[in-house]
Amino acid sequence: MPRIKIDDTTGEVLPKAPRVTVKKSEKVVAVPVVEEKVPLVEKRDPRFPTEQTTDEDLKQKSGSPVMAAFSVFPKAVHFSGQHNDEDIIILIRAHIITNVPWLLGVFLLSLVPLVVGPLLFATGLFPSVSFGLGLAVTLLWYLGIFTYSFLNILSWYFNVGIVTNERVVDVDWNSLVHRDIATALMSQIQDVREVQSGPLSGIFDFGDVHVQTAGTEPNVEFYSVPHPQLIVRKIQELMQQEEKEWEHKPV
Amino acid sequence: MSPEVLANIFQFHLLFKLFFLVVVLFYFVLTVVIYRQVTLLSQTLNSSISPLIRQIAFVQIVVVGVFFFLGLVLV
Repeated sequence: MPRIKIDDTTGEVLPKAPRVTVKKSEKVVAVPVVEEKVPLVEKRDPRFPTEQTTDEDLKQKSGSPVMAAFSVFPKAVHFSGQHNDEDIIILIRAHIITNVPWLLGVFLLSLVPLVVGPLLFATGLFPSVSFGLGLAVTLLWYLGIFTYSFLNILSWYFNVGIVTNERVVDVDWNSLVHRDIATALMSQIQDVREVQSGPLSGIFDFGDVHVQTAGTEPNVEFYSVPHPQLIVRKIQELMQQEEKEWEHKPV
Repeated sequence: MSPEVLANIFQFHLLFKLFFLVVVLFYFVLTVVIYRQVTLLSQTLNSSISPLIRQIAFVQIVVVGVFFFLGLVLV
């Protein structure tokens, strides 16, 4: 299906970019004009000239393009099934504060051998425990803690939500043997809402985003993500943009 | 220490060693599963740090493998 350009302000279909011919000595060489990509940054509302646009807000809140809970237009990230003309607008993970409980657990668990070891030796409960055995058990304990931490980091890193100019993608990795990837095209989205509950979500500005799709398509949900209002606003804008495109599509 | 007590301690030690090695063996399998999942998920979400994550997962397999043989000696 050919893609058409639509003027945002007038809503008219823009003509195709012309091919320019340049005379080089006697030969005529056709130079293809590099088609200018439609910018994803929307225009400022003339009624509120001082108010920031959604994209400006998003960019202001954006973190590191690779390892952040909220990243806007991340250039170095790609996902499987991404089309050539599809741009990632927002890449979201759970808020960094959601990692605190397991980090605390790791801290406490790493203290256990330091406390329990000397206590066991002092009480003389295991007099026959050799140095080698003690060392092996302690090493295994710390290796286990490392794996537990690594799994938690992986779980945080790979549980992502992606908003592109065409769709919304939700990658869930809940356990080692369960992976779920759900996508919803902008045209299939019926409703987007955000839920913020609890004092922490208010303080650190995070919450859940629920994307309801039409028909039997699975709903997409992002849990404990930062700046949920901004995400909802952007998805709504993209839905409107998609609607406009459909209205102006040639039959 | 009587020979009976010594035999009991030896038996306990052997049982413990067996238990320890079985645990490490399961742990080794777990690290292999983690590596496999990381490889698959890196294809799903590819970024500049994906190779680093895969390397960490691989190093973990090697470390646990070495630890298994170390356990044979230490325990």
